[in-house]
Amino acid sequence: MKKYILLFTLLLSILWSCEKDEICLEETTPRLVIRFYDNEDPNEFKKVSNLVVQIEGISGDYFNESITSSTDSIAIPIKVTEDLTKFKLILNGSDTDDSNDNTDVFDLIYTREDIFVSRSCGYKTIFHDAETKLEADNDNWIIDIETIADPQEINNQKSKHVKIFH
Amino acid sequence: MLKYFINIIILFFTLSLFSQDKVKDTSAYKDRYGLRIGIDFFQPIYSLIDEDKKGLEFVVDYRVSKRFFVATEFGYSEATTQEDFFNFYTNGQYLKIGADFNAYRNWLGMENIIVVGLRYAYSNFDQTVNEYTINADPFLPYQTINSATSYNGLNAQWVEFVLGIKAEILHNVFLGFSFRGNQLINSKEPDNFKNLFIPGFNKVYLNDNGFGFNYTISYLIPLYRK
Repeated sequence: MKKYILLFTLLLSILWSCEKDEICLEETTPRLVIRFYDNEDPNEFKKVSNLVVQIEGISGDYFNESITSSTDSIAIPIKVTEDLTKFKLILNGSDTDDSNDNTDVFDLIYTREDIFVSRSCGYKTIFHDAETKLEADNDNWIIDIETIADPQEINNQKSKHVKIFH
Repeated sequence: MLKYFINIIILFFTLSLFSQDKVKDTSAYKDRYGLRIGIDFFQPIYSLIDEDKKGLEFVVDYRVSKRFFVATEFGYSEATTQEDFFNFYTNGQYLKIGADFNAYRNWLGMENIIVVGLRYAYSNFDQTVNEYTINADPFLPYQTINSATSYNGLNAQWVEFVLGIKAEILHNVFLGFSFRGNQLINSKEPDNFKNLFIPGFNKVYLNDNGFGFNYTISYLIPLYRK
């Protein structure tokens, strides 16, 4: 009997020590991929200097590895709880000189769908029928903005979704 | 080196001598055959500690030959599972049917069992996703979505490999433990969700396998001797 009790306890302790072993490896909610083009030569990329990205309604600047002091390609998050995200792109915003900052604002309008991915990743949102709209001000550094396709689906970030000409 | 060989040979001879000790004259003794009915007492006790898990399981086996038993388990289970990004509730019932082999050679008159068994299992159940948070860039504010989306009429079939023990602690009363390795054969999956927990199967791991266990107390109703 003692032997059995020992075995019971041993097996119980093994079973209780089992914990989650799954890590999220799948792609989750895609970010908006923007490529910057030269307005004079629309087939050529043109880098943006010292770009700062802000999202209206969320405090602080958005940082990730794609936003560097000179970049022609950025990936930025889209709001997953609203059908509109207002982006502020500030040219020369990250340098020390405040006088050369130029803020341009554009809207991304879309419909959302929540897709189940896996136990560890949970749900992601994909975006349908995305459209862009540039807010005109008296000194736009962005000349034109357009989506790659019409309607534009944003369901991964393997390729660009939006072109910005400047 | 030779010394070890000789030692091993001696050891084998000694072992074979031991195996000669078997009691050959069993003709006078007749084994008891009967129906053993029991309950998994772990689940009711566990639900006192963790109120997210509730369930009840009955176990029945019937001896068909000296070392074989037909065995079944059936019950219901409800569980709320919390994951990193969502929370869901599963409830349903299940039935498992199969056979047990007693791998233990008892002394005369003893009826302890080391179970090696196989089961086919079926469950039908409902899943409800209570709430979830979208897995997106951490710069975005977290917002929990209370979806309460139900997926009804789901089912699953799987096989279980059983390892366990049953010991007679009082006359006709057995205490048992079994460990089960499960492999899903097929399941009816919900749209835009996955069967991550199945009653009777428990947590479904990435490669469609899982494990379970039970602690049983059962009573043997002796029917005849053979």
